Amino acid sequence: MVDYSMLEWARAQFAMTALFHFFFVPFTLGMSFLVAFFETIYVKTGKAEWKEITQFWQLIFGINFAIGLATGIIHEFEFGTNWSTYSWVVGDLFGAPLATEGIVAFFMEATFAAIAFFGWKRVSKGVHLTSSWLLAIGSNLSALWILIANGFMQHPSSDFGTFNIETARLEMTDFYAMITQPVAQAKFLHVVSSSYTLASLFVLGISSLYLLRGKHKDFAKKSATVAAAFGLIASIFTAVIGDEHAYEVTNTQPTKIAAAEGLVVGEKGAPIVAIGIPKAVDPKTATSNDEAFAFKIPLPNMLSLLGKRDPNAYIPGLKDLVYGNDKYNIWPFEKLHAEGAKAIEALKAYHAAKANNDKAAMEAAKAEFYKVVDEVDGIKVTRADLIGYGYLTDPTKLYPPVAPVFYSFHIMVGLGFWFILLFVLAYVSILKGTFENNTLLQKLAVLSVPLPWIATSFGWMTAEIGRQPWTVFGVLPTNVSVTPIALQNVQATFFLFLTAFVILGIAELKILFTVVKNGPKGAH
Amino acid sequence: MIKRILFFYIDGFKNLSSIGQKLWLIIIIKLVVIFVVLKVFFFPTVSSKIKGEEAQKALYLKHLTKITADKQKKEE
Repeated sequence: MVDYSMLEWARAQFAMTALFHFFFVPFTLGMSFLVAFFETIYVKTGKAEWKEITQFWQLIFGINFAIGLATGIIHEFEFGTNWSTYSWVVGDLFGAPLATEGIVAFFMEATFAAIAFFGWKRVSKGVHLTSSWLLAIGSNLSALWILIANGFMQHPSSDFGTFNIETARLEMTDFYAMITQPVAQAKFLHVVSSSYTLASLFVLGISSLYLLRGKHKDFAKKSATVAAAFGLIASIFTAVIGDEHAYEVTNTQPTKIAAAEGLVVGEKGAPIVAIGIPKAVDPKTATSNDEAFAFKIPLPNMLSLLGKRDPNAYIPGLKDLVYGNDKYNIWPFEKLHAEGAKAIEALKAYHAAKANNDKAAMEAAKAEFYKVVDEVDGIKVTRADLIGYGYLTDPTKLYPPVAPVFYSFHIMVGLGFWFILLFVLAYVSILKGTFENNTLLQKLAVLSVPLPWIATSFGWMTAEIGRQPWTVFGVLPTNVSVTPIALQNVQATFFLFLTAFVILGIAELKILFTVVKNGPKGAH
Repeated sequence: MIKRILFFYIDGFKNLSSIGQKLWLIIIIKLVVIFVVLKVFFFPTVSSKIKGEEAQKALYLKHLTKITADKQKKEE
């Protein structure tokens, strides 16, 4: 069996790499558009101060771009070494969007980055501006392909993929359906809009810092105006699309939303817990959701409204999802596991028969593997669809740990509402012409600069811890995905990465602080 | 055309600011560490050690079906 400490180390390493990589990504996604906005104003007005503004923020963008460059490549190594079973089983589906990202978006990004950075004196204003926009679009297209791949892991719909007994792999049946699936699209829009919020708050915060110090006032006011407008739109859109994303999650990953809201016992008119302290409870013996919290302030009916667009709709709790609920046709773990185990046995029998060239036995195993065992909303569910449940043996491991998912989800949402409030206040203050002298608002903007990074990291923690115990939800458990290699290999690389990331992080912050301290003069 | 593109890059690198130079140094060091040190010494791809698709399939098929076998053995 897989050594669980190896599994935990491999997960920790991937989480560390992902969080470090995502330190740079949202900044690039948002700042590339802000730079394009600044440059568009420069080209439209022809005023030199807008060129100075563009070049300063482009330099900040460039520092982040350079330090973050290739940190995502480490993931690819980890797929090969630590997650080779995962790569083997889902490579056909997962690899396609990643390859597209590398071929199309990455090269587009790289090409236009060169013109944007080297081309100020070498190409016309129009060509340079076009390059800046294409760089922003290319960066965001990169995110699209990555999030299509992640969307597949969250919701591996049978609309675009199926498990092939012959190859023992999940194979793509419809690339277009994979690209357009609602989970991936909602995730992409939520991630990019939150990235625009992050970059806007950074620009607003640094501009506020200059105003507080009485430096570069005109530069700061102009930068803050664009950032507040973009940030206001982006932060509101993040909340709106976040609602759509939560709706998709409720309907495709019920264990994740139940953990995120601490919903142990399913109910009609389920509430959202605005603030709460969840406590450990055994879903098997729980009789009410009050048992799952030491303290809570619920908003009645809101989870039903969010997840089903009906304030009185039924939302299943962890108890229902693990031990079943006949009334709502929710299968208990035992039944899911039994069918999954039969699928694994059929897979084994098929290949044993194939080795003996026993065609009749192969057909019999195939029939068992693809046997229809249920029908949900007119869609046939086969044993092959449930194969992942065969690998899970402990019913209490069918859902993610509640506390980390609950806290990370609520911190992310809480911070999201703070960003909307801050941008509303800043935008109104700018419109009234009072922002320049509103030191309280400026201080709040400066103090809020790190918060979007915390919010986006907690967002990813909600998504990825909330997906447990699966790498591919409902299909491939994490403990099967991992490579059975020696623990020491993963431990050694974990500390190597940690060292490299700390050095790179210090380098980025040091260069950034120097540039911010020097201000816009001499950015180029 | 190719000459113009080439000179565009050469000229761009020649006129790098001091921050640009520092960033390129960091990029080069990072790429060497990632693609030479890490990839070669610490991240040999497990699958590529096993030559041929059939051999790889056999390995992963064994892994994918081993877990129930282990469980059955435990139950027996």
